[in-house]
Amino acid sequence: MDGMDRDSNLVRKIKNGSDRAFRELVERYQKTAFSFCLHLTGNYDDAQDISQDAFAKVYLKIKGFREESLFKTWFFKIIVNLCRNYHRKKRFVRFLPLYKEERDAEKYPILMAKDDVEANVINRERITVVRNAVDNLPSRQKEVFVMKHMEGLKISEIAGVLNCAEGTVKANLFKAVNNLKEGLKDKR
Amino acid sequence: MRCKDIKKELICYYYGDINEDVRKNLETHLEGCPDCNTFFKEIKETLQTVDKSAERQSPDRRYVQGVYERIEKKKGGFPLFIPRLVPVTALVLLFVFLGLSRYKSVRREKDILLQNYEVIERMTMLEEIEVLEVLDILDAMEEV
Repeated sequence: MDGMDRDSNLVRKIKNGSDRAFRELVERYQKTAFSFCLHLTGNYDDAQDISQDAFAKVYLKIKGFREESLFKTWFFKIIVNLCRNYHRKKRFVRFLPLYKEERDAEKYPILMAKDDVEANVINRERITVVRNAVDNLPSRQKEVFVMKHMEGLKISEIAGVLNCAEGTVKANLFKAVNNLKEGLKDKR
Repeated sequence: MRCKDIKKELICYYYGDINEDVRKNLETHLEGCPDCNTFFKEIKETLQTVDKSAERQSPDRRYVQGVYERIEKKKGGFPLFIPRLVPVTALVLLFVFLGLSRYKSVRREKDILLQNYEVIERMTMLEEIEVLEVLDILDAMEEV
């Protein structure tokens, strides 16, 4: 059974009230959902909150999912919308006087081996530079790039998630890669 | 295909997300176009740099439990409805407050009038008497 068949099988079981199937679905997609949110928000706690919210939404709305698209596409659509709401709220909160930005190293730790200190320092610097370059992409380009490069979605799937033409996805991907190329010129 | 279109497709080519015909066209074009060739090498290096730095992190160990807690919370309706009700409730409360304060001020005016009814009556009577007295004086003056 391939991934998509497995998904639709799980979806059918969840619709019939199987809690075990839902748990399996969460375990199957938790890393993907979490890391996608982490790339879009840059904050560990927020990424965890948003991705958990997305699963809760899946659980509560699955009966309304008509399976006209793949589960993965539907699920990413939910996450993208939640992340957009998050950024909208954050834009508003940023104007409040007591707001403190939490996009820091402790909230978004870099994991690596501890045996080679010098290599780690260089690696850490490179990771930070790349992460900043991805972070600085305009939001639509970042969404497309993360879905394609980090999550391995097909262009047609991304177009489904973002509700736009494949040409638009390709154009955004092209701009994103070009921006990254410029941003990482001396770091390659 | 123009070089600009080729370059857009080259990114999909890098990811292998392309159909067979386009792939053959691209490969033929790449053989004869040094500009597109350089571009492809550059994007390949860029994307490989991003690859080397991309580490998939794991969420908390209590992640699944957290999902269930959220579901329970949302099922309870409380967190789902409260944010939507906040502006409506605030408006209703504002109207109730304005209505009450208006009602109170009207009622206070009425109470003052009722409480001091006799005094006001007397004042009116006194005013009338004063007027009559003045008239009497005027009459007297006229007679003189």
